[in-house]
Amino acid sequence: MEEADAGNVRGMQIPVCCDCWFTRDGKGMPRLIKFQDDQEQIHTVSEIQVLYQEQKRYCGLPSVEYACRIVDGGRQKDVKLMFWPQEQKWSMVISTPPGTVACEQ
Amino acid sequence: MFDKTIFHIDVNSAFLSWEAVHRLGHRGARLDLRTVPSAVGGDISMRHGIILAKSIPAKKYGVRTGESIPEALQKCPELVIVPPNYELYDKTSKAFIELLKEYTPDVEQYSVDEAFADMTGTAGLWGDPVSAAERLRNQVRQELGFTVNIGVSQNKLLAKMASDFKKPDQVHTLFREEIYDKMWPLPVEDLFFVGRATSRKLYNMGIHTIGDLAQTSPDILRAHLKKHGEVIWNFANGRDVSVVEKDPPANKSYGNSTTIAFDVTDPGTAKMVLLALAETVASRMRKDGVKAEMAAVGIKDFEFHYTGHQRVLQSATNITQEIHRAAVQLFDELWDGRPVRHLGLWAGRIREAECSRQLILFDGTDYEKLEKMDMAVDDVRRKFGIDAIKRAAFVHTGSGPKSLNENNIDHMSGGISRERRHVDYDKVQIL
Repeated sequence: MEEADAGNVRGMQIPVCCDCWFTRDGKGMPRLIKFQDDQEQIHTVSEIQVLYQEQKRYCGLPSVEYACRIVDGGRQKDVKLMFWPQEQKWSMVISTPPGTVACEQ
Repeated sequence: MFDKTIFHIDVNSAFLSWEAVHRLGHRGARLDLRTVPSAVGGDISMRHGIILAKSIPAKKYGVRTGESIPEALQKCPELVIVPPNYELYDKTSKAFIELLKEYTPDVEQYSVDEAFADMTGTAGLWGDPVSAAERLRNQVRQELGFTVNIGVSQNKLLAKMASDFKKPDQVHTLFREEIYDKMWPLPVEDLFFVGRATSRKLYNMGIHTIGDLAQTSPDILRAHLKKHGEVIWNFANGRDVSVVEKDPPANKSYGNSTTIAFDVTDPGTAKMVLLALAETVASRMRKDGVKAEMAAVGIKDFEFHYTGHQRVLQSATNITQEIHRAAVQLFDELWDGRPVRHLGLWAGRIREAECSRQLILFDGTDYEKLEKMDMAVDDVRRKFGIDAIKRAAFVHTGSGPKSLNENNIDHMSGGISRERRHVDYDKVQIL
């Protein structure tokens, strides 16, 4: 049976460093992220509220997706943190208007 | 800013529960100590005879923690007394904390049987706070065999107050919006940080409940109780900004004290006790890689009068001999000849061990050699036990020339005495 695949990642994807705590049965809780903006400023975000998490495949690649509400620079934003276990990489997806970019791996 | 979720987890009758679980699980006991009037008590003959923990049935007889064993037995003649076993408590406490860390990495051990856990952001893992707390409570009971109370709130103060509500084996919430109904009607002495002296002052001011305190002007409280008044006013209004600190702060001082089994009347014996205390204090400092710049000695006489004296040392040190020398000088200056019941030794103004020593021109002591000797002794004790090597002064020959240690002073005194650290269950009746 073919596994469900969500296709391309929708939205702008940027690389992040993520401090994530895992329970003994592998469930994760992102606690802190750092990323660089267009002006090359480093943002550190420690206020992260995970709304839900799910496992998904994008273009055949497995991922764990955390829908989060974060507070960055005093402003609340809804983002998706994505963990790519095969590459041990984290990225953050910020929703963008129509005309989405293809996923970059 | 997201609201925090803080748990305060408190083991019910910890020492008694842990002893009960250990006996049921490992010693073949048929009686659960928690179901009968029972208590953990010290050794009367060693002058440690007080109640350290009691069961709920014992509480109904009026047995109180801290009272003497004879007093407790008067209230409840059939009280089952079991000896303390701090080695067991230490192991069980570690297991308890490890279990909490399965739920969140932010766990602050508040005492041997209490901890705070910052559960903020774990809703995705464990569900809403009350469900998470119930799950934790059940897991503690199933895996470790004892019960806990869990208080749930948005800050540490309210979580701690909540865990003190009805016991045992319960989860209670005390969110900020609930303090009016659940906290304000309580007597003011139930508020965290309000002790006997403060509650007496508050009663004199007509403040009887936590609600009265919360609604009193903070200026009035500050005028009567200074900074403390402001702190407890904030607490009464459910405000607490302290965070759960998973890494304990560095020690600001190291100390040990001991109640001697007999009243000491000669300085030689007192100085032996100080040497034994210096051994334990100095070895703890060396283990943590620190030195102290200040030494202090405390004496409690046979009538429980306490006096203390302290001095800044010439150089920061963790050498046993150097600390003992300072302690002896302080003792000689302080002691008035009255029989001594209790001695204490403290080392403060802590520095990193790498700090350099101020050399003194006329002091020929080879401190480097003494440091190396202490380290070698620590190594031997670590590998072979604390009794593997001891100073000659503590060797009790029992015959021949008079021994310095004819009173059999433990060569490493202070803190939890040996007879309370572990129990020889072959010599104890298991019910």
